Amino acid sequence: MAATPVAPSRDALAAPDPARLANSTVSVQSVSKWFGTKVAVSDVSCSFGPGITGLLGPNGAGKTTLMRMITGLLHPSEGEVSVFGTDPRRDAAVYRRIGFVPEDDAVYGHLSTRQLVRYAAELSRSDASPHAVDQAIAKVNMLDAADRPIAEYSKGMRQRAKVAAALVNHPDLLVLDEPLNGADPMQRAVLIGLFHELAEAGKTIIVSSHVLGEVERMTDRVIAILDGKLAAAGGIRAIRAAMTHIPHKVRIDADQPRTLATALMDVPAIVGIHFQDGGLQVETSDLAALGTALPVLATERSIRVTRFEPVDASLESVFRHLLSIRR
Amino acid sequence: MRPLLSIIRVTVGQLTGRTRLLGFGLLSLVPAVLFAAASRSANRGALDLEMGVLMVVPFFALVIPITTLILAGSALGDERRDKTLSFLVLRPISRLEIAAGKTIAATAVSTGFAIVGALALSLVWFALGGGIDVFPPILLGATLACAMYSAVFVLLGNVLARVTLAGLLYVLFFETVIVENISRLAGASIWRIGLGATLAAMPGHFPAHALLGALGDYIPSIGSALIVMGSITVITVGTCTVLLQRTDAI
Repeated sequence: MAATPVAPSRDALAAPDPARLANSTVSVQSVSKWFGTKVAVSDVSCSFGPGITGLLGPNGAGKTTLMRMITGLLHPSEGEVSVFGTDPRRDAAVYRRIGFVPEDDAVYGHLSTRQLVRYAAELSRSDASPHAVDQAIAKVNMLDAADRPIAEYSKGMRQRAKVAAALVNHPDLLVLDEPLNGADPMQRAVLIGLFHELAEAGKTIIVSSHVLGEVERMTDRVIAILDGKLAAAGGIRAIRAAMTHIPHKVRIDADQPRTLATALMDVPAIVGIHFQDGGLQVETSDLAALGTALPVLATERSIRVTRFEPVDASLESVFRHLLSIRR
Repeated sequence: MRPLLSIIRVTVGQLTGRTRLLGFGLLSLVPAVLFAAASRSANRGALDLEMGVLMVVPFFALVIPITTLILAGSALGDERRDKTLSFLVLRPISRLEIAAGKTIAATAVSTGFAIVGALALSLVWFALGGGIDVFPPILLGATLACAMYSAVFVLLGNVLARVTLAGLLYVLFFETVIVENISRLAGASIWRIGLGATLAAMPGHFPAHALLGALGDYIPSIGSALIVMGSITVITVGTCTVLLQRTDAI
């Protein structure tokens, strides 16, 4: 993932180009949405294509509003949303190609999963045969409980039932709002595996989650929304690399940490060195410069480096940085 | 056609939970039980009058409206409350199919309860020495009333959070108190239109004229009752279809 829009100032974070894909199936163009005086989404432009894209943001950031505009549930106050080249609010036929799993507990409690999936298939005018229904249920590993009323399910099972209903018409676009909510680790693994499988089959999957580690397990491409604005887009490492105003933290383990620390002090890109658990945590404004200097210094001083690991290139760290910029 | 039938099927299931089946089933039988308990007459004409009065008051004016407004109000109202409406609107189907499916389902379920009540009334009357020929007219008027109440309250369930309260105000205050005192408003009372059709279709031995007073100034024929029912259904289903396009509130 090459592009990252992140830059030092908060306004500069909204650079739109890295949020665009050449092979997009969903396009969001200068979209804003306000409810009365409250601005939920402000001038967001981005696109989504085959594969999984994580939609990130704290509660109230505007993720769900954006997802609902993409599905056509909400009408943008300004801007345009295009799904497979058409506006879903004007062309209901496009819903044959869309599957939506809402965040809220929106499900028919009196139906069983089998009945729900069949209902979804019939409403989507797709194959509602018992075989097709069972196939969709099997994908979420729920055949055993398929005939129990959904009202008796745990939250995680309800989520899986909704995912099965969203899959039965073989959609090309899946919009999943917190699909892993309430799921136990086993269920999460099943769902994440399923999303990977679908992504490899060329489906466009937009998934929001507040559990950043899970998004990281699902995808490298993220769209981060903060206060209704596009804060960052692209690959997680690329976004972090572009955050040059925030020093990168690198964990370095070596057999002579003090000697290495002294040598690193002369490298201009180094802005801080801390001793930590027998190793070093080095802060640098230029990760590449550190990567170039370290082997040279280690060789000159016969230091054996056993670990070199950026510790803040995780999605959580990136997200924490984005939040700190907001504050 | 398949999505429409699916919506009807699932909505019927949604509206016929065990509690509702039991509650509304028993409510439907109340007029018949009252009739059986109150009837002391062996005179056929008097029996007709008793049945008419008992039918008018609890069955047409209370049982049918209350049953239907609760069922119809929840047909779309429960979908809004439970946030399941997105499951329907994000499909390649028209909003008309949703509105029509919900209205047909509510009408079917409420008519089912009305059939139980009408049959029970007719059987009691038959057991007391009358004929079963009053059943078809009662069923006709009840079905018309169910269809009209369903059409109106499916629409209101889509726009009002407290549709049952609004419905009870309409039935117990407007239809009962207001129309009772201002009889020229009778044309706006749904159960009176249904009852009018029933009285118009009653066999000759039934003293329908004795009950015309309950109808107020508007005494519909079967034909005009059908026209009113058709008009109300077209207007309300059409309005509901348009309102369902506005998904921002879903």
